[in-house]
Amino acid sequence: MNTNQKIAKVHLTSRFRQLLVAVLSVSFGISMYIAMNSFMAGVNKIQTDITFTSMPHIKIYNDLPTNVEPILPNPKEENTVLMVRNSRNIQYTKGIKNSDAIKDELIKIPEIIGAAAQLNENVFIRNGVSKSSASLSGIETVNENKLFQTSEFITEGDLSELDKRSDGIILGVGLAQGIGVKTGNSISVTTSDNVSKTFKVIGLLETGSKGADNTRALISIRTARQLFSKNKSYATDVLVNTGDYNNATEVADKISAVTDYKVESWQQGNSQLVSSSLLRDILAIAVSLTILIVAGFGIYNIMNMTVNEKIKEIAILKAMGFNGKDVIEIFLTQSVAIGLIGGFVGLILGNIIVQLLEMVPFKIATLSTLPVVYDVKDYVLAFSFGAIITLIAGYLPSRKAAKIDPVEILRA
Amino acid sequence: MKAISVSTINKHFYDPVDFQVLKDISFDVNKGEFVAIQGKSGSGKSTLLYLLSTMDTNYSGSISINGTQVTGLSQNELAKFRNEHIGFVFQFHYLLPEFTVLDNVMLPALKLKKKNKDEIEGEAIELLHLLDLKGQEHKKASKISGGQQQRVAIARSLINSPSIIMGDEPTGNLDSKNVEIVFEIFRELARERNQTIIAVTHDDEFAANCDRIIELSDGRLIR
Repeated sequence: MNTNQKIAKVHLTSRFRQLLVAVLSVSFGISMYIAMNSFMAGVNKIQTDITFTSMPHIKIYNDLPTNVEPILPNPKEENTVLMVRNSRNIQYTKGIKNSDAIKDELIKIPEIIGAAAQLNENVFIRNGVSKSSASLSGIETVNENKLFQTSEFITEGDLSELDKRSDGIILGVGLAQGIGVKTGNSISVTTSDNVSKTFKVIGLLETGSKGADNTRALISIRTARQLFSKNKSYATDVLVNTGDYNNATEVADKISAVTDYKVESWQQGNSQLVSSSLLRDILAIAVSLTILIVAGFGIYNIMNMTVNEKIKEIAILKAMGFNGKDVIEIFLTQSVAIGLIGGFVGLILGNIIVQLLEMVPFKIATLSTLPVVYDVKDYVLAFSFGAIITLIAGYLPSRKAAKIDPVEILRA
Repeated sequence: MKAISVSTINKHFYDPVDFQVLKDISFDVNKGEFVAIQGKSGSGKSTLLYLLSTMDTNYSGSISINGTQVTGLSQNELAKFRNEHIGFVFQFHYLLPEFTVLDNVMLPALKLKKKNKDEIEGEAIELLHLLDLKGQEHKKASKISGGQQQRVAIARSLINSPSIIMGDEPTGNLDSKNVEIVFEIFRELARERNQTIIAVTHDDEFAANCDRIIELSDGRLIR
């Protein structure tokens, strides 16, 4: 320890209470930064988790062609008039006839971790006099579960039962309540082509998204193909998940190269999700940085007071031959020490706060406690922001101390 | 080579109004001389001492100490120069209250870094014993009496064996017994170690026993 550091140490340790306040203000700022960001990341994660329980990263479907070819070519001669009445943009094919072939192609793309075919149609569900419209999904249970962990949201019954019973159906809880059925009851499903079939309710589904829970009904995709009289490999949608959902757009571009069907990444269809997650991040960073800056002001204040208190000592040190650089070193050492101690305490405190947050009961939708995420990046950033801010907050008063004219102080 | 050589120094204060404190001051001080600066209050004697101490650089004219022209050196060069060549004793002891007596004495030498810590500590203890402060080494500077504090301050000014010791009323706050002790210390240093001593003082008796008196009146040198 050199002379300047020794002086700094004596300054710090001789005023323990002030040191404690300064350290605590840094710790508070850093722990709040960690807590805010861990919590916001948890909220974002839950939000995306909920979103991706019913939504794939990428969806492939048969869309209406966007560029409509004219039915007749424009006449070349000037005095010929072309009239087409009642022109319609008609879809020649509905759905995807060869979904198995497409899935085989998709599995070859390395970023893709799973693909599942779905057959989605709107139907009517009747239970005696009560009836409701529902969006019926014919699903490949195994692939579906791999993509969306659907079985975790089945509150009654079992997803795999769908494969065993061709008359089995799983209803959203809201939907079942709406038409007054329970597991074990029978219902009748009517398609838009007026085909009716009786199903037995073998399970209930609760995803936490009210819209889905009020309308969704799940059956096996084979039963669905039969119900709608479609061929073996038929599907309306092929749903794809990638390793990292942030890459969905790039992977979607790759898929577009191998198929003529419409390929849509989740970002293209849901810009509101992207923006709300981004806004939450901005908010969290803004608030936590503000807290850190306020802590910085606290240190600035304390160091300023120290400089004023020690102004005579600084003058003496200068009279004895200490120069401006020594004085800056003495006071900067103090604020760096405060920053480091406060930083480490803050990291521990922040981790404790996050653990406490994780224990707070929060029983809404599928949550039981507040969502948090533990990310080393948050801790590293909090510590470095804290260190930078204490450095600045300590440098300004120490520069002032370095500029002190000893003559003025000693004469007074 | 003179210990101090001052030629045609002029110094103004500009706040609140332009006021000339020192007017065309020139004098030399020989090595080993014990000089007192006297004058009525406001005559500029303290101002002159601060110019000689190199802490105040805002003047015209030139000052040389031990053959080195200090006028025009940068603040950092001056700090280094002070550390090595000048010891300073103030009217108030101005010790660092949170440090021990020994630490206070050792600080200027630790800054100079000419010797290692053990050597410095040995010298500091020797100086404290010379100044009759045996047994006080490890007390906090704020916990000893005023007379002792002043002697610690003198020990501190001597630790780097500076060629010049300056005092701004070094005995101003002491009783007659302590004044005598301090005076004797200065006397001895001048005689035995050939160190030059310049002290601003109000005390006529103290001044009368010095080798030479420099007297200022309204910013002019009259003796």
